[in-house]
Amino acid sequence: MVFSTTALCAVLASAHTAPAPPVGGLGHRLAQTQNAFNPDMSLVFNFGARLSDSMVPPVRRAAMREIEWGIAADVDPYMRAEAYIAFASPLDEDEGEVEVEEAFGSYTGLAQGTDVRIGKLAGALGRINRNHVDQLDFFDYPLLVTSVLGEEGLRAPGVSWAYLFPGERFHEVTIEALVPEDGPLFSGSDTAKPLWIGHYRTFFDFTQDLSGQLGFSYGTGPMDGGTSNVYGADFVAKLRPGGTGRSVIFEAEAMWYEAAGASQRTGHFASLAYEMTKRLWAAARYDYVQLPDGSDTLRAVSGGLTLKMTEFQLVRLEWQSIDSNAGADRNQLLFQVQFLIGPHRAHKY
Amino acid sequence: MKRTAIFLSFAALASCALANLDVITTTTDLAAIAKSDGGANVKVDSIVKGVRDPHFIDAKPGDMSKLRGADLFIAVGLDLEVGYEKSLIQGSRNTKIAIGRAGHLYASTGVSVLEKAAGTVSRADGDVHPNGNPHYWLDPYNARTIAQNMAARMGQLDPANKSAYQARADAFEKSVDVAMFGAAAVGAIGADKLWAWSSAGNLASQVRAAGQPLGGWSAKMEPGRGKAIVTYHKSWNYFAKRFGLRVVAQLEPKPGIPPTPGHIANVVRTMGAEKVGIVLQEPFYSTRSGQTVATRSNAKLVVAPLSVGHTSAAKDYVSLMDTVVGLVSKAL
Repeated sequence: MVFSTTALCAVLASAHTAPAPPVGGLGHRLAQTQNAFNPDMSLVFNFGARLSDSMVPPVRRAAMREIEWGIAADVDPYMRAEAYIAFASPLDEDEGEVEVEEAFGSYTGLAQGTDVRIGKLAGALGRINRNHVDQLDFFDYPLLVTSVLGEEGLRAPGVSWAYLFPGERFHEVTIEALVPEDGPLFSGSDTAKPLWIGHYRTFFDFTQDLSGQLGFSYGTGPMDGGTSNVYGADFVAKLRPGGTGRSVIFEAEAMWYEAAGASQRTGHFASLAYEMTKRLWAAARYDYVQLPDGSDTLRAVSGGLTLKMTEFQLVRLEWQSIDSNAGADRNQLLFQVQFLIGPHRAHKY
Repeated sequence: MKRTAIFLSFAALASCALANLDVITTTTDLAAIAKSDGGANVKVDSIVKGVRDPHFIDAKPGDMSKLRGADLFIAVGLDLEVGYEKSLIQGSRNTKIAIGRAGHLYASTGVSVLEKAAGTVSRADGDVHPNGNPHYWLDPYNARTIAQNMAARMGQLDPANKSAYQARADAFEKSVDVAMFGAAAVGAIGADKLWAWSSAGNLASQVRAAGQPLGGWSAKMEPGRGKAIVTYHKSWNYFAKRFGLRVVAQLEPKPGIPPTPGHIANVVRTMGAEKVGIVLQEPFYSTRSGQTVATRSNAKLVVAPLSVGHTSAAKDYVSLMDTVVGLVSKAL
């Protein structure tokens, strides 16, 4: 779906030029009351540029890769609604598109410990798939996500049920039934069969400074008249020594998958991000992935520096080298500027 | 020895089992006051632990588990926890502690808030808190308000022990009053009058006129009244206002923005003009900038605990303030 930037500008301009409410008096109080029911809205701007030794058309050197519009509000005492709509212009495509990344209603009060979500969801396969691109420590998702789950990860309409077990230790089980869009591993366009996903995660507070999360996932769903299966393990550990202003994040995920009619293949990544000063991060990642259809095996090494001026903007320079068994090798220098307006976003673990 | 250990273990288990309310606070300061109010009737834990900047806390899954069964969640409010509060509450799936419900309390209720934004707020001004400066617990008067807020809410959730919560909050208030003014002044003049004089800035002269000795934190800080200080972040504004110190600059050019060389040069000039003797900063920031301006201005860098647990001496609210007052009054 091609979008019009002028339409977006018109929306933003109309918001900008809306008359300010009068200060004081009934009008002001009325405006405050009305604003109280407005949803939280934010825009994340993600600009990217690339220098590569393999610039095959229609790739572009620079683009406003994505403007993500986030909207969230409580619907009533029982439900909360969230939507993340991306106005995307990927560097690998010559047309922009509007995509609903996630849009769901979440029932949190049905029973103690449960969270039921209905709508378009980020599938609970691993951990990184649930993160939006602006939450990554790198320019883009690992190859495991883009080459196995989908270019922007596995996003599909359906239902999700998550249960947080009682007790001091965090144990959570998530079960999802989704209708997948066509992707490398699953395809839901010609079948009524759902994609079933199960995910378990637990959390460890090893010390006050060191914590970790371990998860396991399983998915089974339709693909070209057959069935694809995927097994996954994900782990993240964060070291944040108090009072030092430094931190280290280690993250790794592995998946084993069988596309319908194909033999089992695997992919994984491991990354390390180090907060050198309050503003400056260094990060490195290793990717390995066998494509589900067996057509290629990719290995990638990425390394970069990220300057986080504040919590609301960053500048990133990253080098990436991709080695392909099929000969589609690529070395590229990536540049990213990302900035956010709107309410403060959550500090996700 | 072994028997004593076993007895203490059973006693600890019994106190947990008998607790009527499971209370989770965001900061250790709130936890300390909640423990004081709740006594054996409550089980208290905090989200923030150790020496950490309370602005930058992740919504950790383990904290969601803590909140899952909580009866009462107490936050500082004024957007201090804006980065993680909603995520934690949603992640806990505990509707009892949702914002606006009886199980959720902003301890700032009733506090006289400083620096509340008037007019348009912009992030061009840094990481501002539109509803006001959230570091209000460093004014001992506000600690009394916090204790009363907590006791009222605990009593609402656990009516059978309402009077016990109120009695403990009153006792906490009294301990703060005595630590602030000294037992003699509190006994002879009364706490309400002393706090009113303190707020008006004429405490010492009024107490002297009443023929009573001024003691406690007020007496220690009185020689520094009117002196100028520089702080790293706006964390110390409530403390400074209570004790009559003038905060003439921050090392941060704007809230949440790390010091820059140009701003440091300006701060040094201000320190010279205002004859600033101390740079007061929190223990979770780098001391490099603070040390630089202190050295260039012939001032002292004082790294003081901002919260309970930031040093081994700051075990509860009164000992936290004892430590801060001790460090600052000595350096002034």
